[in-house]
Amino acid sequence: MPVYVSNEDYRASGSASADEKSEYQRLYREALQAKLSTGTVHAYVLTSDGHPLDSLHVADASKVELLTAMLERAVEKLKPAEGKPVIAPRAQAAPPTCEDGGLVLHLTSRYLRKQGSELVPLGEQAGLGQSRNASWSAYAAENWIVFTRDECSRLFPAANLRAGSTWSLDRDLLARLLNHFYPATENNDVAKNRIGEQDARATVLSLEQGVVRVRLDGSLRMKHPFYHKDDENTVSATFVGYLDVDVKSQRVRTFRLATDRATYGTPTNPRDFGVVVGYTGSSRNAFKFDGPGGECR
Amino acid sequence: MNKLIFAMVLALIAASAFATPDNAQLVAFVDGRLKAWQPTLEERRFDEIGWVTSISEAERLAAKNKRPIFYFTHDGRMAIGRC
Repeated sequence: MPVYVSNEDYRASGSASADEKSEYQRLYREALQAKLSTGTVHAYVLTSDGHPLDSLHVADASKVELLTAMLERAVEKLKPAEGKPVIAPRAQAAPPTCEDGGLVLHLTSRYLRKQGSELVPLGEQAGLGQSRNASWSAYAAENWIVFTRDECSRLFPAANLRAGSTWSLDRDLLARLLNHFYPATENNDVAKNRIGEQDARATVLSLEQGVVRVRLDGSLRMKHPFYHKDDENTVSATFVGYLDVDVKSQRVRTFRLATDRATYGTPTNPRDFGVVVGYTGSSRNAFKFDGPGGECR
Repeated sequence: MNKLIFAMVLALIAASAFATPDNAQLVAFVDGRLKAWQPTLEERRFDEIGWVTSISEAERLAAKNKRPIFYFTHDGRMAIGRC
């Protein structure tokens, strides 16, 4: 039975139930008593009656051979019967629910490399699944951002939308989105971000068949510590995007953004990364959405 | 002279890579990156595992099905790659 838990949920103020927190503590204490490797970021094998049998620190568990060896030791010792998964696999990063007229935005952030005249995902260079490269850059990072219907109405003026109209996007809504414009790092507490500069200028490009298309041009400069202590790591990004607004219903139909250039790192070691917001229904994606494009409902 | 031409070619390549798209290119540019930078199935193989959502549920199902438990504790949110 595979299970993963986030330590944040199991702290005193965490969302897990008292019984769950008690069980989390019992497993930790039993692993200590059994003189197994223990820690907060750890992989364990437990017996079917819930007692620690084996363990690995994450630095070792992320190495294919070591993790496979631990699982094979468990099979050898416990001899579980072969069978199908008890729980059917499903997408773990499912979209959150959203009220009618709200906006569910999916954000992807990943390290990139230059290939000719384009910035592309690291692909095989990320070393995904290779023992010698369990690096931060192996995976894309994701976030879901939800705007309520009222918040969506703050994305554009209520009247006088005509070609050439311009305005700045609501600063608070924009900050909620831009706070997630950073690649994979150990620190994911956006309260530790410091936005130095942010801007997103909206310009109406066209009004056709009751839909206004709005161009977005923006920039961001934000300190984001890599670990949970202050450092000099900074995001510098410029981005473009577009917004389609149904004039009659005053609803946002589409909201899509992409960085045209973004770096993250120290002043002497900035790395290329990229962020996209929105969803195109690409078959390469693991998600299955029910809504129209997974954006507006 | 060759060095000058080489430098100009490099500058042109750099400019084409990071030029902001004009209005005519905007949708193709944004949608192209949106498609190209999405998490891939290879990166989401994590979703091919039938994960249980709590320790107590894992223990209940493990006892019922006589299976050992793989138990991983972490900081952050592993499901979205923010950990």
